[in-house]
Amino acid sequence: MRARGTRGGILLSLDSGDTLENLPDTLNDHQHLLENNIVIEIGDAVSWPVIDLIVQKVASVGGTVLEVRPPPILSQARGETVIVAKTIRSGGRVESSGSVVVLGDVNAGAEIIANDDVIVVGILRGVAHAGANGNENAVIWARQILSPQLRIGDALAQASGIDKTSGGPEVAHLQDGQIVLRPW
Amino acid sequence: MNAKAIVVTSGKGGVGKTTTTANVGAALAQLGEKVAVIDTDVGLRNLDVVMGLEGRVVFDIIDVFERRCKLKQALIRDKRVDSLYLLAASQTKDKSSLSEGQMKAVVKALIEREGFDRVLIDSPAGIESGFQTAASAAQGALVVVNPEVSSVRDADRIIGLLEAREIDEVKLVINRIRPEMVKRGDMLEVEDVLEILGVKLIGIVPEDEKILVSTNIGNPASLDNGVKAGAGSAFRNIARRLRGDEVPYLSLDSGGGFLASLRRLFGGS
Repeated sequence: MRARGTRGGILLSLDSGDTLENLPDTLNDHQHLLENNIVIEIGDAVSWPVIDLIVQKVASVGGTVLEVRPPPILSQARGETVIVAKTIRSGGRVESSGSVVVLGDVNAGAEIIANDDVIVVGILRGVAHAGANGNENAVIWARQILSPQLRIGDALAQASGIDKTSGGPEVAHLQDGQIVLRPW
Repeated sequence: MNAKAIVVTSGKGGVGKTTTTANVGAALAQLGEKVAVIDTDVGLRNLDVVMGLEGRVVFDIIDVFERRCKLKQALIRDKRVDSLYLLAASQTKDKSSLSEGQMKAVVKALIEREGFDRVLIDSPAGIESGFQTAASAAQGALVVVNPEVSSVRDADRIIGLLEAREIDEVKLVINRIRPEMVKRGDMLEVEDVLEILGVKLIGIVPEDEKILVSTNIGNPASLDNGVKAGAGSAFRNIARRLRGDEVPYLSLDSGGGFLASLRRLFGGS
């Protein structure tokens, strides 16, 4: 079992290694953590008595179990990668619930929107939005990035705000909520 | 180009579609082809003026579509080159009068029945129905672009739409280039434009005051064979390349002379 503090209280992550044998000791050692609002995340198969034990323990020390849920990574279905084998010209728009791979350029006036990564084998001059559904680990990769605007997740960067690199392959990713561009 | 029916288009207005149509059409006719130029800019017709045939328009393309006249009656033969014909647009209608089916039928009749070697279709600006109708009958396209960012972007959009129509012979005319501005870096270079658009070049036309004059008096500059430089000669070269001739491209060197050309030859700038 792993415990993590969140804004609303404590998040307990369980997996199949947590059993009725080893859990009571762990819970007793960290009893003070359980006097909170508790969310339980279940990584893989966890027996019902284990969950029941935690719920009873939390109740006995005055805490509340708000939710039992699977971890967020598993709950997100990975979309399909869209591969476009040509240059995307102005006015063109490619969307994907997964990643987008363009085997060509993306010209100014074109838009690529992906829930995961945007990979452009040629030059990226159009607008690219990676992690469009909020995936903050998404990246934008291109042989050269000359876009006036990049978006990753909820963050937006304009060309003037991005430090220009050497002109070789570049990758844009999120770092502390800001889009940064670095040679790849 | 193998295509007999070629649409001249650009997306953006004012880049020189009509001038290109008139000059390349006239030059092709002078090289011996039987050429029809069609104005599809219904409501804003200009090709007749640029060719100096305004006074001779009796029937136009809408009259042909609506069967008020025969196709032959609407074809205006040029006074200077007798294998050059104009099919004018209507000035009093709008673009809703055009249909793709009728356009295709007219172009087919020109080539198969009237024996035209080449049909140049002058498209209106924009990407809407006027352009779509003009492109519908074409197998090839001349995309006219000026060396500026907005024109290149619109040309890119148009090339995408032409590709969607499976018009595979798309050639680029870079018009109104000013060598001294390119040299100063104030204008996009030919290589930049070609890299962005990724289509084959067929001609580089310099900015030329004479074009303005020839347009105003209705005499295509390409007909003046005596002039060996400037836009007229560039349009003549486009016509020759269109027929498959190898013609060297215009040197953009407006000064610097021999030494500068030598330096360029050896890779210097």
